[in-house]
Amino acid sequence: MRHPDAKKILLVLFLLMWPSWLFALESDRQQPLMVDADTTDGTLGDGTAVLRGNVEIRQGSLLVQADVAEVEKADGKVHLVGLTG
Amino acid sequence: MRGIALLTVLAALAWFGAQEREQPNSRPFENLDTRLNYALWNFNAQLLDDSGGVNLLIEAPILRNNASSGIGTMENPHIRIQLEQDEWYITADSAIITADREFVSLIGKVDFLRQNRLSRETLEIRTRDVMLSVTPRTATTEAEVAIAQNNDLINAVGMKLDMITDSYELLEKVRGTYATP
Repeated sequence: MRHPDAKKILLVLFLLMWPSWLFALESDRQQPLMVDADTTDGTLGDGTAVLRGNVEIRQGSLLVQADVAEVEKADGKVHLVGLTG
Repeated sequence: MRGIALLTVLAALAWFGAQEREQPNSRPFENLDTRLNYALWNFNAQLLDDSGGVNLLIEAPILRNNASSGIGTMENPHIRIQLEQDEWYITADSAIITADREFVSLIGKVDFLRQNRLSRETLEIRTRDVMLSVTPRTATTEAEVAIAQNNDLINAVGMKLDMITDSYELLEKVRGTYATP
């Protein structure tokens, strides 16, 4: 016998199991960028740093993976991140 | 006739033999290094640019110079490199300078501090065992490196640094934290 609320239960289960990383929190914007990569080169201080190889960038609950990432800094802060791959 | 020829040959052989024996004693000081090993306390050296300004300054409590190799060793050296906009201060546990004064091998704990001459903003690099090339103002290391500026911190293994162009390469295992606006 089929449970009448089976659809609802399945929907709740699906929503609970939905990967949370698909949603970035509003507070993530204020979090620092944590980066991992094989190599990097760029200019000291303000300017562009290019991260290469197995790049992972975390900001709060957000995780991004890429082959190459370009991190642009101005006035001592990151203002743009470009991802490739 | 044969006797004269034999005598001539013997005389020639005797003369060559005498020459070979005499040669080592003919110039007795040829290979002797008359320079002395020396040590300088409160060592201070300045490298000037074309206009007479100080480009590079090296200070150390003591410098020991090996006369035969020309290599100098220093304890606790302080190096100041003056560039157009920035000043670099470099310290190490010890250092070895090549005879031509073009390469400085910084040994042990090595700290770099870059200060902007106008804004006074600083950037720090902490690492170990660095080879500093004096004329191109480059530094390389294979050791662990930490670069810190404001709230940013980058750790890696291995670094190539160009102090003139302000560019760097971190060669392995890059891990860092960047501050956001």
